[in-house]
Amino acid sequence: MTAYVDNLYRKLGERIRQQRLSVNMTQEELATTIGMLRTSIVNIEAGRQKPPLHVLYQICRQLGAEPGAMMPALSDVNEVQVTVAGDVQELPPQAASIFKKLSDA
Amino acid sequence: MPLAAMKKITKRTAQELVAEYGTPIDLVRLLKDEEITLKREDMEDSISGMIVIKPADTTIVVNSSHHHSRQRFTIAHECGHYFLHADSASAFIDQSEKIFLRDAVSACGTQRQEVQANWFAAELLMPKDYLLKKFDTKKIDLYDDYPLRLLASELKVSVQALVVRLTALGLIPNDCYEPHV
Repeated sequence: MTAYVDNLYRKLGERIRQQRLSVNMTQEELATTIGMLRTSIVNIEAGRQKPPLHVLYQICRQLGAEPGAMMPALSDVNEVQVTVAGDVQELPPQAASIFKKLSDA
Repeated sequence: MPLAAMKKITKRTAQELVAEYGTPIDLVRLLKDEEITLKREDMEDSISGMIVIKPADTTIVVNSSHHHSRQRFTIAHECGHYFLHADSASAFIDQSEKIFLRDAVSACGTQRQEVQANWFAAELLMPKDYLLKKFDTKKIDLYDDYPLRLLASELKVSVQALVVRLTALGLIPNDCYEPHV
């Protein structure tokens, strides 16, 4: 579950970042308009900070995007990142958990 | 490594195993001799299998929801990683849509290893020499799928895999699938 949550927020962060870049706004500008610190935007875009829904709506308003359109697709979120022999690969959850059990054993 | 050299090594490694484990290849005995554990697990359809190589404990996992002949191909493919690539990495995961129908020339690095593992699996399950002996295009009507099905079931592979292999070996001319008008 944690991998799933991490994955969800990482994907969401990526989409916020893409949208911000597409409207030519800096992290600083976005932060200022919604009364947050730039580091919060940095962390949200990296998936480390989980924005509450109302913050997400504020971000979307500033970026001129519908919140619904910013949501990652289910199929994107379901993937889990695992390290396969030093290489990061994205796997669907069942396969990822089987692989992790095997490689940790 | 140049492609031709890669092909030669792949073929030789597989042929040695074919000599020892016969046709159709006795995968159960091969895995037992190598002390490889085989597990069948329910996984997402896009994953055909994986192998985790450890000095004293190697495991191959195949997708239990796939057809038996496809599972055999996957096991053979993972064996390819085991015999050919154990030096370069200790784990391989095979996502089906990413393995098949890739061409070796444009592939690089890990992709090449996947292509090579497919060559290996093809030779292991459908040895060229065996097919040359068995499959006489002059005697077989390619529009009659019975001989193909017979040969496929003898080799425990799918008809599809067999046709791909026969085409790759040039035993089925490319133009034979042109529709009769």
